[in-house]
Amino acid sequence: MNKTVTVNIGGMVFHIEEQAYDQLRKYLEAIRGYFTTSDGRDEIIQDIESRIAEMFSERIGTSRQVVTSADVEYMINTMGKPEQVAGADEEKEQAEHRTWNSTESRGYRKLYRDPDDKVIGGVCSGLSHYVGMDPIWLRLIFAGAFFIWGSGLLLYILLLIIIPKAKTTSEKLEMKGQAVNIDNIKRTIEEEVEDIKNRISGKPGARRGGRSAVANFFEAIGAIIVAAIKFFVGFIGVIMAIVLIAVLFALFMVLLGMTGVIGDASLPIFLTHSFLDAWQMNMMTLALALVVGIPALVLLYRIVRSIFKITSESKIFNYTCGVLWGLGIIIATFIGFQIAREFRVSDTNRVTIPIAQPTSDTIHLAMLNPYDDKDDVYYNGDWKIMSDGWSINSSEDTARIEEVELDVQRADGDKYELVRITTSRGPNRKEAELNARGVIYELQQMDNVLKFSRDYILPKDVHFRAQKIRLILKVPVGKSVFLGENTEDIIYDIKNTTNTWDNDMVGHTWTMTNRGLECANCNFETNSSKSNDDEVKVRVNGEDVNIKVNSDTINWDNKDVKIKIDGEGIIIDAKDKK
Amino acid sequence: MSNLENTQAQMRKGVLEFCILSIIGKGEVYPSDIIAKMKEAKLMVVEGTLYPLLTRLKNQGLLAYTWKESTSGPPRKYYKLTPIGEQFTTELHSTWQELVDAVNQTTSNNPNHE
Repeated sequence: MNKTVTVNIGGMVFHIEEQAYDQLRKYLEAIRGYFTTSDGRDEIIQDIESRIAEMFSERIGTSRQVVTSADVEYMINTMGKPEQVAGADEEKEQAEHRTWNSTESRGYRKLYRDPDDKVIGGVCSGLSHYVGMDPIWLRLIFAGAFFIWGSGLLLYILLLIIIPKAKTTSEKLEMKGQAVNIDNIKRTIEEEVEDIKNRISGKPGARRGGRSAVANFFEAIGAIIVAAIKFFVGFIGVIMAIVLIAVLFALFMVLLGMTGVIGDASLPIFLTHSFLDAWQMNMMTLALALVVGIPALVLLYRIVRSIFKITSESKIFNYTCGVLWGLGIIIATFIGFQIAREFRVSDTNRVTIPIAQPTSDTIHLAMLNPYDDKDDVYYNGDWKIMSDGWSINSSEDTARIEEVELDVQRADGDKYELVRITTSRGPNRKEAELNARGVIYELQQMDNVLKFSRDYILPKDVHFRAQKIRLILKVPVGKSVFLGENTEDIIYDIKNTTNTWDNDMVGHTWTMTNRGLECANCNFETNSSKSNDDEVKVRVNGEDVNIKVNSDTINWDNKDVKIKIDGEGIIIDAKDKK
Repeated sequence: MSNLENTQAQMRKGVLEFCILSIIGKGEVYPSDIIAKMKEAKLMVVEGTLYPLLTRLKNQGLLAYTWKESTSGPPRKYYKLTPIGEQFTTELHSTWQELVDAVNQTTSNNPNHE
């Protein structure tokens, strides 16, 4: 039982078996390939078709209804092979020669999956035809690669999707690198028929053995060299493809790490537990995988296609990729809006931290967890501290965030007080306040020493919503505060009578007066007597400069140069530099 | 063997055009008639050869065709010589005569050669 198709040949309708139709089509295409439009190609084909129609109707007569392969073979024998048909024309000999050669070169190998010799999908046998290798070796390579994190399987599935199956006879010929001419088509069909006969009669593998026996030794050597060159050219592409696969694989692993399936990548865990809900995280992971992974996959697909000169386009593949990518963008946008909503309003939580009054008149401020070094990345015990004020603990699923400021202000009463103001964001004020309350701040007091942490702890169940801590140490008038080593990391814009910079305040004892903090044993240029708001202090090239603007004069005061501008003119007083 | 085949093919090719023109010159024919006659004379091995040749001769202005209804199947192309074609054929004919004489003369003088 064979499927038939209906064709119009030279104005007559025929029912023709599918296989016979394929032969006929290839035959006419081959003939067409020998002529150009200026030769009157269409007319020649038309005439030939008319004759074919005549022949078929003669052969079929009235008893049969269907044109078979035998009829087509008879017709080809009568009409002659394409090269014979074209060869008649003496004047065309040169041109014909060219066309013949180009037909030959059109028979270059193309990568197809071989459905006749397959274990799973014919990928290995198809590749073996392409590179001229026994498929058993490729199968072994793939099987071996399966044990390298399953990459063999991954690659196999990828190739299974990308490489088209050799369905028609001409595709099978292209796969084996034989020129698509009637001879070869006939031979392949005959081999196939022979093979089927053998399979029925129980003689295995006759077809394959016969072919390799025929192969000439030198031809084989030549084929190997050609295959080697092709392989080398493809090698660069293959390396690119492998790199891409590695990138995809790494991405895959990172995504797995993000969802907490494997590994302990600290940033992903920070994101998982501090930034997003679990399901948001999963959605974000998916979105990221799609948005980054799909273009990488498409790129890989293109490279593999160009390496193996695959021309057939997989519409389903392209369409699926497009849809998935779009889906990724939509999910990412959606989650993005959700997160943005979480940051809409700000609220604060204010608490007074109880501290014991120091026995002396001075309270010492120090750091609880000083850095060992000032590099970008620190390792401080269990804590992995990262740059930009982020530090994340990977073992306890908590994050430490350096968003802490310390200010020193005057107390209303006669006691030291410490106030902690935590600011946070949230979708509404209530949520924001809850988020602010959720953070933990570490503080230690030992007698007269107050030890501050540079960061706060974000517990596992509290999301990061841009929490900030502002500590205010209230010092009563007449009492002092000593800013210990490294406290410059947290003190922020402490007002004092000499307008001294935060960094310069460290290492000194400051006493609270009614006017503000004063340094008893410091050597700062005191501008306090001139309590003038018009005076600004700026840093120019790393040096402090005082600029004083009065109603009629401008003073520029540096340690090297003094400039005075007033109604009488400009006075520049430059000191000698040593 | 293949050298002989090749030479024979070359010889046939040379006279093919002349023979076809001569057949058409005897009256309007359609390709299958030409093929039948050529096969009879064992001048043509495969039929397909004819069509490109007819098209080329037609394009050169030596042949013209008309469509005629047939009793079985679609209309057929019937070829005849144009005036140029007739003159062309006449000239070929005299060339052929000269060629036959020349070949006879040379082959009879050298009987050892074919």
